[in-house]
Amino acid sequence: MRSSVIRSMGAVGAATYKEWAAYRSHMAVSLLVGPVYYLVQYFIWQAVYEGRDTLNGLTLDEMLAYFGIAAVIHYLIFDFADWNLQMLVRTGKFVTFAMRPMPHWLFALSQKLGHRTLGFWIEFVPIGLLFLFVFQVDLIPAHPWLAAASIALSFMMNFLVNYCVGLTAFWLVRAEGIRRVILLLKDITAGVFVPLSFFPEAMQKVLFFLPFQFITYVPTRVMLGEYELAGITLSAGEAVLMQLGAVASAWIVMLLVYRLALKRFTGVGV
Amino acid sequence: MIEVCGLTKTYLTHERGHTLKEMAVNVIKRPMKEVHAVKDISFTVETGGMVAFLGPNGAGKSTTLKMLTGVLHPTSGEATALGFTPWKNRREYVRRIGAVFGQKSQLLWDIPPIDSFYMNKAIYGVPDRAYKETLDHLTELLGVTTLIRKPTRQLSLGERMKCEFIMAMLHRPELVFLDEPTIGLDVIAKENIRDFIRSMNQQGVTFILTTHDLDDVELLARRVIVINHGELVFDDSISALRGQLGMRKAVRLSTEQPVAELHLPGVTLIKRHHDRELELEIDVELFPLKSFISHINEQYGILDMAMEPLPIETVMKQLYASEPRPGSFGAGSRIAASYR
Amino acid sequence: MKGLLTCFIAVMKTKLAEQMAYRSHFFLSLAMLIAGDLVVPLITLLVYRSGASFPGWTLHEAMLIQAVFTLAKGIAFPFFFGMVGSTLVHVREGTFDLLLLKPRPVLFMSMLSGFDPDDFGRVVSGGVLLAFALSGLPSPAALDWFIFLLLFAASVAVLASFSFIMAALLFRWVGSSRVYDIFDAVTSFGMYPGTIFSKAFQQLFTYVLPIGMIAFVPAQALLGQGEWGTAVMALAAVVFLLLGTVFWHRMLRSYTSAGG
Repeated sequence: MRSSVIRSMGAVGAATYKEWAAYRSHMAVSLLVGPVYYLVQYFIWQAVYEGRDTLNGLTLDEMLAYFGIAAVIHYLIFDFADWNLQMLVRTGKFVTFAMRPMPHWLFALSQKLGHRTLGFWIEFVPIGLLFLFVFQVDLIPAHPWLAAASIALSFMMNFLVNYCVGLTAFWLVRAEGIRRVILLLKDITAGVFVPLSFFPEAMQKVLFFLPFQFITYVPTRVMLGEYELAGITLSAGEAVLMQLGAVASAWIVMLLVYRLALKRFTGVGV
Repeated sequence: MIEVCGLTKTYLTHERGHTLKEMAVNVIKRPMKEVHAVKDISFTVETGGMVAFLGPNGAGKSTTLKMLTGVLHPTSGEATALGFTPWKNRREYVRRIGAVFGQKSQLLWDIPPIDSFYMNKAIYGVPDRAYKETLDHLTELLGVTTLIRKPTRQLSLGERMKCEFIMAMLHRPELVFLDEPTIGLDVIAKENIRDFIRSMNQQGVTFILTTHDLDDVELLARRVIVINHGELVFDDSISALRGQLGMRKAVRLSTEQPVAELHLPGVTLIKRHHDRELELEIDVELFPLKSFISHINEQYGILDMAMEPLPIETVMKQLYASEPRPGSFGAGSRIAASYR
Repeated sequence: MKGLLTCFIAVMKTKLAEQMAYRSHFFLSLAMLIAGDLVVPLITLLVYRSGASFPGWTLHEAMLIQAVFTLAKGIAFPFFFGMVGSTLVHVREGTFDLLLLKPRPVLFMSMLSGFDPDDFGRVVSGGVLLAFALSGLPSPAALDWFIFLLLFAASVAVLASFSFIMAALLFRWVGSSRVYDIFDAVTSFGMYPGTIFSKAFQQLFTYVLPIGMIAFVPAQALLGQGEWGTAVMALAAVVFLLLGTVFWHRMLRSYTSAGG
């Protein structure tokens, strides 16, 4: 039973890998986009740090490392499960999945694994090397095993959050706008645009209890070696433990919403 | 009205690898393949004609039509339509032609057709009066006077196709290209659309029709052009197309006695349902009907018998299945010799 | 010319009617646009709140650049940017030919079919930002406003040219929505004071890829740092627009002579 699940996941992942390999030129755009964004950040923070050593507890080197690491992590955990799922629901194609012996969320997760395997070669490796050797970003984690665990957890967290956003399509068929707002807020509160320690103290307390920090902020801070938010300082190990708890809860929530969605699908026939 | 001479379209395309290794190599070097989509096609269409343009998928017919509508530039060859070279005088030319695609809607999905019509009026620069006259005429002819005020998404496919036709005819084109105009429609809707095409044709509009629906061809076209492997393989009237079948009939037969082997001149066994029920094809020139019936009746005893001319499908299957031939064929070449 | 104008008005009407068919969707995507436009200003605000700054620039001055950037998008995007999306869909689904069947210039038809009134929403976010920025600045003189408007037109031309280039790429690079990512990444240089970049980059963004023209140069005019000399830089924008148009037509030609 176990092995058959893994086999199906492998098959779905491999098919996705091949499907997307045909569009590798689309993916390779990241080789331009990633470094360009990093350059912008480089100039911004160079200017901002003029005449000062630290800003919100981070030195210039740490700040640049933050953006470099966040960018590289992005290529490992990138996800569009929300878009895919809402498209399946809107076009009525979801019905073909409702009839398969594999739950759709597992199918989507396998797809993401396949898609990111391709992204690993096309995006992560070349951009990582470029950042490491050309831009001299310190990408070597302080605690490699904890960093790997943290990135794996953020991979899951990103999937779970996006999949839940996609599941809203069962109730809100034409709400592309709402989903885009949620995803934008997700990126802001995950720390994609600026480290979360830049937000006002009160905001930081709210951000601490939202699931989004576990997508970008936590793994990036773990890579840097230490975690700090809302006045709470944690070691890398403690941060990963907290992340594990968050991912487990998010997984449970996703499964619950998934069950509700299927109930609605078979009951009302969205 | 349309004169096509030696029209040819060749293009290069990438070959995509299948294995991982091929794909890895493709990143650096992509093998190119030359595709001969259309090879030296010539024909003419007279004003007021109704020509069906047929061919299997990928035969080159849509490439030909794209060139005739000015969308695609040919590699070589010439064509004039309404006195223009379509791809050179595109703007003036398309002002006088229309197009309806069964699978590509020109109507805007979320708003009533009337609003889409109004937009086309502006794009084609149709004067107010002419617009109103044409619109009234067409909506009445198609019976959609009230429908055109409902959002397109609420219309049935049949209703929508009627509106697609209005959209394409508003600027009074002299030449209209139809691509699968009845695809997916129910029998009644098909009949409505065909009636409309016929009545527009009677008013002098020339139609070029591409379709896979042979009923469309039999009920509408007076002339048929068949393209296969980029070459013109048939160009003649629909009766000549039927003539390709010779004097052959399809026969379905039930007998009292089981029928074993049949060795009769001009008779081919198509299908044996069981030993007393058969489908045959007979060529009545080789084996007259009278003698066939009496022969079968004496030998086996006829219980029931149905006879029909061979469907046009049979010829099409033979035309489509033909292999690409070396060298090219000029206009009007027939399949006759090789077929009989 | 008059024909083109009637055409334009007719299409604009139908597009608005189309949008109104889904009012709630329209307002949501408007809200989304505004929220998206405010992300970079929010970060700028967070940086200044932390006591840091772009050297030589007050918060209001920095915000002014971002306001102009958003306003320029608010004017250029409804007219030009939509054609990127519509070309993407049309080429992928094989319906671009329908535009070629219309008796109007193809570039014009392409712009019309992509006309997107949603994007006017950016004028709102741009206006709010502009009002905020100007509230903390000495009010510009009439001449400054005049030079600003001239440079602002150049800014719209640069954005139009970017739209043409992106749409043209999509004739060949079928279905790649990533042209948007390229655009966002490359133009993100334009949202900050040009002085923070190295000299080489400043030259690049002024004369080669006139990204500085999108917001930085026009904003400088409003800060009283503009002069007739900077207006000459608008020429770079005009050349860029010309290049974009030529590129678009060349790609269209290759589209209509290739494929099958």
